[in-house]
Amino acid sequence: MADKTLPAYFPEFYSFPPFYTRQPNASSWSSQLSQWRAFILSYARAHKIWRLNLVDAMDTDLFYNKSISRKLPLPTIREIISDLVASQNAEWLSPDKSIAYIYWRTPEDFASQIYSWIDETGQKGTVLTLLELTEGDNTTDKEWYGMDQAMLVKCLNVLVKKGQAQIFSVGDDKGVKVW
Amino acid sequence: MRRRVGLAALDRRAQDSQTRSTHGATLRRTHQSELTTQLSVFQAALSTFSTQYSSEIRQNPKFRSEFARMCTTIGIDPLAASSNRPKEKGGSIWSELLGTQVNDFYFELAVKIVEVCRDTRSKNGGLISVTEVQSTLLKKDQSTGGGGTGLQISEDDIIRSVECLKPLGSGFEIIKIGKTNMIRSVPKELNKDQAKVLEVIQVLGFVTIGLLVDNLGWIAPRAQAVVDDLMAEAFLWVDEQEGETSYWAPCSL
Repeated sequence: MADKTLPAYFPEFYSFPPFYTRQPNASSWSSQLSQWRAFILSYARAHKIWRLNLVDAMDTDLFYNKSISRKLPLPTIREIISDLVASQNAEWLSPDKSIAYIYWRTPEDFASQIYSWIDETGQKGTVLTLLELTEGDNTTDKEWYGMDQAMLVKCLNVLVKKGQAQIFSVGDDKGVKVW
Repeated sequence: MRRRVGLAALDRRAQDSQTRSTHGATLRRTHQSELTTQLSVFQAALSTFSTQYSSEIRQNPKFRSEFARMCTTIGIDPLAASSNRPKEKGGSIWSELLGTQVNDFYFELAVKIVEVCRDTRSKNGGLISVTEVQSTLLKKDQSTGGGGTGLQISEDDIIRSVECLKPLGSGFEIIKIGKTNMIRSVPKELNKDQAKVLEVIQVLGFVTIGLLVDNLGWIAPRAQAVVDDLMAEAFLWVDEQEGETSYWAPCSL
C-alpha cells in the first residue's frame, strides 16, 4: 500500500488518509502524535533542516502527500511542534510560533559530538570559527555539517555552561575555543 | 417335567451373574490391554516420527502445521497445558516427544506475539491482522541479525500460539473478519454490526455513513452509532479532508 519509492524514514502511515486529520480519540491521537514526531525528526535529519518554517513546510512532502491529496492542517502541525518543544526536540524562534528550530538531536548531543570531534582531531585550545565547524572540509561527514549558525551557538553554549568552551568574535564571524 | 422352585435356584442365579460379570471383566481387560498396546505402539511410532523429523518440524512451517493438524485429527492436543498432567510425567505430548523443543517454540512465539500486540495497541486499538504480526516479527528477526535463522513463521503457527494463550484468560483471541484472521488483544467483544463494518473496510479500504446506508440497508443513526463505537475503541480513524467524512482501520493498513 505504501509508495515503494519513498525513503525508509517515511512511516507506513504516510499514505493513510486519516493520518492528516487530527484524531479525536485520545489513544489514537497519542499514536498519531508519536508517529508524526518521529517522522518530522527523521525528515529534518535526512534533509538537514534546522529551521522549520511551518507555513512553507505545509506544502512540502513532509506535511503534504500529493499522491493521496492530504495535507496536515497548520493548527495540527503547530500542536505537534509544540509537543516537540516540550520535549526539547524543538524550539520556537518567534513568539507567533511560525518558525522553529528542529533538534533531531538535542543540543546536548550535538555539543558532545562536537566536543569529541575537536578532542579526537587534537584541536583543543585552538580557535575554530563557527563556519569551519559547519562548512569546513573536515566536517562534511558530521551530523552538524551545515547547521544554522544561531542554532550552533545554542549547542556550543552547552559546552560554555560546563566551562568547556568559550565563544568570541573573530572579525565578522564568531569563534570557539574548547579545552 | 415341572421345575420346582427351590432355594438352589437362587444360588444358580447368583452364580450365573457372577460368571457373566467375570467374563465381562475379562473381555474388558483384553480390550484394554489391546488398546494399551495399540496406543503404545502408536505413541512409539509418533515419537519416532517426530524425533526423526524434529528439525524438520522446527524449521519447516508447512510440515509443522501438517504435523499439528494430524495430532489434532487423532485427538491429541499437542499443546495441552503441562499443568493438566501429573508432575512426574510432565509437559504435553510434544514436550515428551520432542524434548520440549516444539512446545517451547510455540510458547516463545506467543510471547513475541504478545509484544507486537502491545506495541501496536495505541495505533490499532488492539486489533491486528495475523499477517501484520507475521511481517512485523519477520522484520524484527531481520533487524536483530536474524537470531532465528531459517526459522520461518507461518500464519498457522501464529494462530496456534495465540490459542495456547487461552488458558491464561488473557483476552487474546483469533477472530475472523471477512476472510482475514485478526488477533484481538483487548477483552472487547465485537458485535455483529461492528464486525460487519470492519469487513466492509477490508473490502473497500474505508467506509462512510452513506456507504453503510446504501450497502447494508442500515438507517443513518445505526451506522453512525456503530462507527462512533469503533472510533471510541480506537479501532477506526477518521478522515475529514475530502467530501464525506470517511473512516479507516489502521489494522488493515
